[in-house]
Amino acid sequence: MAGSDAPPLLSVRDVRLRYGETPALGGVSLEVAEGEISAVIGPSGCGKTSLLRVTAGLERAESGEVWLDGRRIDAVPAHRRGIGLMFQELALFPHLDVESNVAFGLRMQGLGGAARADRVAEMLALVGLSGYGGRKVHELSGGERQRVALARSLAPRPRLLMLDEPVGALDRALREELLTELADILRSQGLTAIYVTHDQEEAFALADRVLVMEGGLARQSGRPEEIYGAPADAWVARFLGRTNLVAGELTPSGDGRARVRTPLGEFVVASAAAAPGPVTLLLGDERARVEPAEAGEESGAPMPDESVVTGEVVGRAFQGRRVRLRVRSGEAELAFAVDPPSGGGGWEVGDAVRVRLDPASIRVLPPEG
Amino acid sequence: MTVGRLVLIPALAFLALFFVYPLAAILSESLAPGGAFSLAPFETVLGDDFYLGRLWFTTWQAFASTALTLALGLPSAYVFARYDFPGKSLIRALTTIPFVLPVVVVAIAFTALLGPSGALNEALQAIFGLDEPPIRVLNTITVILLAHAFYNYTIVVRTVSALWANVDPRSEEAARMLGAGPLAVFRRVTLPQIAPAILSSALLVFMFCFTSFGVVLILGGPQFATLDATIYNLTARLFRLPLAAALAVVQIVFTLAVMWTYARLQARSAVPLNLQPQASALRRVRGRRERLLIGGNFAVVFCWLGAPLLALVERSFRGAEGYGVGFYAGLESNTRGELFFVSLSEALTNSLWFAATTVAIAVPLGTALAFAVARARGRWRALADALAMLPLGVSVITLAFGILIAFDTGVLDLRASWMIIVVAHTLIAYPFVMRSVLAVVRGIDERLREAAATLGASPRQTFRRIDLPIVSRATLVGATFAFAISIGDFGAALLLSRPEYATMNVAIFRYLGLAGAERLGAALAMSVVLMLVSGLGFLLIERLRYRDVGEF
Repeated sequence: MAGSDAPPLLSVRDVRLRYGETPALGGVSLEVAEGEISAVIGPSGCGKTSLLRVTAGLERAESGEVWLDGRRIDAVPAHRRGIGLMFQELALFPHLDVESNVAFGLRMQGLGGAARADRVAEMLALVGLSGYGGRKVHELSGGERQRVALARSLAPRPRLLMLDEPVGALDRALREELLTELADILRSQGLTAIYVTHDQEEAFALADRVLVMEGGLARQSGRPEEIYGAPADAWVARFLGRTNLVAGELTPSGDGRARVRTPLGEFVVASAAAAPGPVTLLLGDERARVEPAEAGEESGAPMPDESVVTGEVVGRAFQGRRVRLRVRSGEAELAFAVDPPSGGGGWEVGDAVRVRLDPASIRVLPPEG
Repeated sequence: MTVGRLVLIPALAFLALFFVYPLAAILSESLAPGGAFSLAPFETVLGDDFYLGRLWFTTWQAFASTALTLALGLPSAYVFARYDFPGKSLIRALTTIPFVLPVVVVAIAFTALLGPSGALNEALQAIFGLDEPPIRVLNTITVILLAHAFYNYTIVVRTVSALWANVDPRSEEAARMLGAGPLAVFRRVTLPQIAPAILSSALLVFMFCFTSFGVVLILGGPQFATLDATIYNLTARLFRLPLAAALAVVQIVFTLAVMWTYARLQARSAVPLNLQPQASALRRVRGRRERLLIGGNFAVVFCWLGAPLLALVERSFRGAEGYGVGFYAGLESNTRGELFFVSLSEALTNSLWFAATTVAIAVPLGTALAFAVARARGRWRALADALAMLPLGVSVITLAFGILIAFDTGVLDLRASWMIIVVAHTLIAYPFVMRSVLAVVRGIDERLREAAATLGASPRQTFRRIDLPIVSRATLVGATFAFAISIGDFGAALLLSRPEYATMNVAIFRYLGLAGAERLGAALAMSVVLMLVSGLGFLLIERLRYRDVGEF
């Protein structure tokens, strides 16, 4: 796991790449430890696929280094790197049947006869496609193709497996099913893997560590909970779906806390280290409580230093155990997932409400712009 | 009676009269010369070393030409399929020029470049101070192969690059990631995916070379003759019609076998590949190696495709007293009092008139058959398909020969009529019209017709308002093909035309048969005019063509 003494299996150092005039990677580094699953996330065009292609050897970086197993492999051609890659488009060989697709890498290793047949059968069993060997690729369903592509990349036992949006093209239900299966297979095979996706939920569900990329640069890396709980900046927060961002002016209050003046009112934050000046606040909804605006102070004891946002409900969406309210306050529109009030009822569009926030759920981020 | 049948009946009658009947005439001439059944013509043709030698030569020169064409075409196909570079569509268009040029022009262009007094020999003699022309390829197999490859290069490039561009480059990358080196990637992943296109283009080239007539006749000289050239000699010079008929039957059997293989391969290549939109597969040219690869490829292609044509133009302006338009001026007046003289304006008028008439008949014929084939079901479909495509499997000379011996008596004596040439041209041209239109008709979404019907349109109105407007452009493309084929035809016109109906191709051939620099100059000058006229047709095709519609 990260932080252990062993050198990382893969180390990508300060890699730069441009396509024509467009920079694709502006100096990105990535380390993956043996047995770890690492996710690279970012919107389309952020450079995550380029990072995979440079690591795979399909693109040659302009500068930077790629190390695998303590060996520098920049000059090693793709087919000698021992890295597996599962393409977003799968790229199954259309002229070969399922068995020959899975056997391809083994054939390239010079493995023949019974050993190859055994390994193919083992891989097909692993992905739940035993008996599919003779099928033509175009006869398979989307999910089956996905499984064949996975079996094909696993068969030659790559040192590192990279998956580029492997379930991106599937519909939601199938995606979740395959994702769970994929996670089990990767863990059961003890694989070191890099998983590239634009969907943070997939990354969080699967990965030990996450690298967030944007514009060819690494924005933040860390464990999933670190990244979600403490995004490095407003961009990362937004990308993760945390959109309650408010610009303000921070003043330290001397007691390990600080006050931030914003258009929505004043917030108390538990941030001793923050320097005075402009900041962006990220308002979390853990332990947030919503009450009618005219209820006064008597509805429950206020938390110490709690911050309050008042506004009007402009939308509500039922999400199972919680209700997601969209609250317009001044110029801003904020979203809070809250428990529905016990005893039924709830809020309707048009209600004036007051939202009480726990200071621990408010994070101070660098100012935007 | 539906609109379809109204047009179809005359179309089928035309084919029965001018295609099926002549074929039957060939068969009867070969099996029953003079009315009594006899296998003598076949015994002569298949038992005589001379005719077997012609068959053997025809076959192996076609193989060799195909191999050379593939060797030159495949690298270019790769470049067009995988790279994006400035001027690409222009370069692609330019590489098509040889294919639309009349055979006679190509043959003369090679003479102008490689002949004893050709541009290359002259240059080499001047540079190295030689007394004798160093290159002597005229009347050798070398120049025949070169001309065939020159002619058919674009078939390989277009057919193969169209498929290659649609092969997902990620399947190649996937192979690399699985440990395949560059050679293994090509052999195991790329080649199997483009093999159908390579095979089908090779077969098409093979067939064109197998039935080659003009190139061999003009460039090969007397010692080389393909089956077609032999049939021509037997018919036009020796008047041994039963032997010619027997050879024609052998020729038909052979070409039909090739056609059948071609159709089978086409059907098999319909296995769904993982086709990618072309743009995603295209790469910009990066680095010195790639620039060298692409630059080198086009340098070779342009020297080899461009040099003969440039030499042709240059020689046509070069008289005994230096550069001038003397040869062109001489085309109009019969200064030497030649017996069969045809002036440029007469030949041009004849050519254009035949072409216009051919278009007028071939376009409705091909369009009607396209709709009929698209709508035919069950065994009618196989019949319609076969009838529509068969003329492609019969060489021009055989077709013209059949027409010549079929229409030689009574009311059906067309030998003296100019119509006989138009009939032949129509038979050569309408399959191209049909293929252009058929591709589009098959692509029309049935729901469009259903939508029209639910909006109250009768079948006739649907045809007029939906089908016809949609195919109009493909029809135009077909018309241009028909025009180009008629303008470019050499074999049929040579065999069928009376002196007074000589086309430009025939006139050029006559000039070549006469001695003297004046006559060669006249042939060069008229070839340039012919090149310009057919070049116009080619420009039209390129402008009108849908992407990949009207591909051979």
